[in-house]
Amino acid sequence: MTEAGNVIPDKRIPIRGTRSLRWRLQFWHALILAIVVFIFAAAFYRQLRHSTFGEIDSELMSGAHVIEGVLRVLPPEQLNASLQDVPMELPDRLGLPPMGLPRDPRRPGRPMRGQRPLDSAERDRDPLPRLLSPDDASLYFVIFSKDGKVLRDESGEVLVDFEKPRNAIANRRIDERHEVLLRGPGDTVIVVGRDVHHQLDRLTHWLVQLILIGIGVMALGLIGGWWLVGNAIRPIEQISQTAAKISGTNLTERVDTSVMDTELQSLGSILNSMLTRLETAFEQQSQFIADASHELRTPISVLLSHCELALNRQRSAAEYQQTIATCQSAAQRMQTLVESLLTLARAEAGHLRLAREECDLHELAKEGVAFLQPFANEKKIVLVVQGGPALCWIDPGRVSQVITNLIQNAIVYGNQGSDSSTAKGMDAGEVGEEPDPPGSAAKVIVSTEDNGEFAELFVQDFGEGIASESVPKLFDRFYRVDTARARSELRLQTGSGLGLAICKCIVDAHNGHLSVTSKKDHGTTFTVAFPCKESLVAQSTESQYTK
Amino acid sequence: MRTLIVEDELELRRAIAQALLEEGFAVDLAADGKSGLIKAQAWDYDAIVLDLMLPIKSGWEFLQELRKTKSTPVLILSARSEVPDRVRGLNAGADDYLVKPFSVNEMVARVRSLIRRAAGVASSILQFNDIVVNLANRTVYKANELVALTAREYALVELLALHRGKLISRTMIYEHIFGEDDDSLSNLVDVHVSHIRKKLGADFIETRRGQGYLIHD
Repeated sequence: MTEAGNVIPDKRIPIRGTRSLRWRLQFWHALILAIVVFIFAAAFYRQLRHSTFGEIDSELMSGAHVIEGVLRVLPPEQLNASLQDVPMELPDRLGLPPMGLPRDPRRPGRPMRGQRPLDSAERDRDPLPRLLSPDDASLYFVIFSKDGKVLRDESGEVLVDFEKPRNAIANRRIDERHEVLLRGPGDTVIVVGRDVHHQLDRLTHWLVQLILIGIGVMALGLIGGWWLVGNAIRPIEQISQTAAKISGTNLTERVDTSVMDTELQSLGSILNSMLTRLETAFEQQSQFIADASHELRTPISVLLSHCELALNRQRSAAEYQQTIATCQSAAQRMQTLVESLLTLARAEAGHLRLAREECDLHELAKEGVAFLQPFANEKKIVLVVQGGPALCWIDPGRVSQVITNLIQNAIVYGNQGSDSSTAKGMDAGEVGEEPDPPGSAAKVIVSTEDNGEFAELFVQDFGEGIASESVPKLFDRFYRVDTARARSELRLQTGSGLGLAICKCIVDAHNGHLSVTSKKDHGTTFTVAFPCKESLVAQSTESQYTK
Repeated sequence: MRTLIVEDELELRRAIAQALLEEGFAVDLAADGKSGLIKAQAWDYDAIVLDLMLPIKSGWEFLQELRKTKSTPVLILSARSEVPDRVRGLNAGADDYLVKPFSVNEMVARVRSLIRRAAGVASSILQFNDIVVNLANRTVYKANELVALTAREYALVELLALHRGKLISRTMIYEHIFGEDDDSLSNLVDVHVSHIRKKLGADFIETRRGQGYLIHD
């Protein structure tokens, strides 16, 4: 997973490095497989060796006991002299008739009494026929007196060293021989031995075979493991490849989860939903940037074109003055726009600082109306303030901005070919107090109300209203209801489509509500509602603590 | 040459108009797509400078409707700089596309080139015997001597030279060298023509009585 997480677009996926999941899995797989194969082979080899030599040892043991039995019946004094003439026979192994002296092929001339070849049936009975075929069974024995003198030597050319066994019976291995040492009567030492080089050769052969088989199993296991791991991590590779394909401009790629296992499917779908959210946010962001740059381009165009014109030729002082004034107003427009964008960005990041104090919305409404009175006069709009005090805990500067913006919009949108008769129907009770001035076709009513829970402010115009399809988009950034008058007026006044978006941000920052109702040909009402002072104080202290 | 500027941004409209006026163009103005379209359909402009984001009627709608009746060269001025926007603008029937912010000098040069192209002239230097009209510098030479012409005189020479060999009626002259705000007295054209003849030779401009004027190829 680290691979998928660290993918940087345009870089190859580092799947073949030491941090590769596949290689690590393969390594551990190989290690475990090697340990298992080794343990198995070692156990098998050990068992094989044990059974081979165990049998040989018991054979030697029984031979030694036979000799011991012979020695026991001899008078003790005879045990100090040579026993060369005492008849002694070693039994053939495994219950076969006693055989004579060792049938060593190196001593072919010697008679071998009682020997007969093993028939095939007897070979089959033999548990380890290959290891212990009678041909190999060249037993020999030597009897030493207690002081190490050889009493009887039936070892042929084999040199047998004297050794006093610490216990009554002992084993020893010399070169390729196995010998049993037995303390006989009169402290004699009976050594019965046997050449085991055939067995050793065969064990070596087996060992080699086991190693070869082990290597084969390892190879098969590793190939299978590589394939299995590859299959298991293929979806991960797919996910990381998809992730690698996704760059800033291409967020449309998705991981195909239909071919994945359940565990990876959930990862894939999480990744996909993350991508979808990212794509949406990215699109919104780039749309916003496109809009913002589009809005900035107009004043920049004005600035640049007027400067270019002024520089094209010698101008009079008045012309330069005119140019500079134009540039100034364009720059001011850019400033307004940039500040609006900054306000929006701050508000969206939650950094909008509110200098809250106890305010009366009604007073703020009066101030706003007074401020915009000249503009309203110019547009032949009558501004009316109604209602009573509505106390709330707000930032008066910011809220004034909202109120001014709403009234200004109402002035611009509200005087479009409406006549007061259509307006009579709406909120008639409040409108009735103000007599319609003669000759004026439109008015904007700003009213405030304290309904106990919310301090509300209404800005109502009686213009042509807003088309219902535009209403949901009203608070979007850069959205403008595109009518000629509204556009030209608004361009001159504010120069951006951000007014309502900023209003919405400011009101939201106050935990208030900004809403709009509009009816075609009857006008539009914007409603701003702030929680009343008491409830808001509680909220703000709460939020202070949580922050 | 008479141009129409359709641009809703007052200051920008002023700048474009001033630039074109200073380069000897007659200029009409419109602040929205609808009034612009009415003017564009009513007159034979030599070129139209069109913003795309216009109130009432967008630049695209403007183009769509204009192209039903007129083939006036259109230069789009737009803040939309993305390739799809430019492609869309050009495909809608525009002849050129300039992205805001732009250089007014470049804009003027493009307008001039559009007018030249529309008249079927590729070079900006036109030669008639010993008279050379340089459309880029707006100068006229006779026998390698610079001839001082007034802006109106030059505009008339330019119009006739661009349409060399074609008869240009008085109406056409009024339509192409005077803007909507210029007062055009009918005898003014005769006055200008006689001035030009004094400066460039009597046979440079031929008069077809009752029909108009032409410059022979």
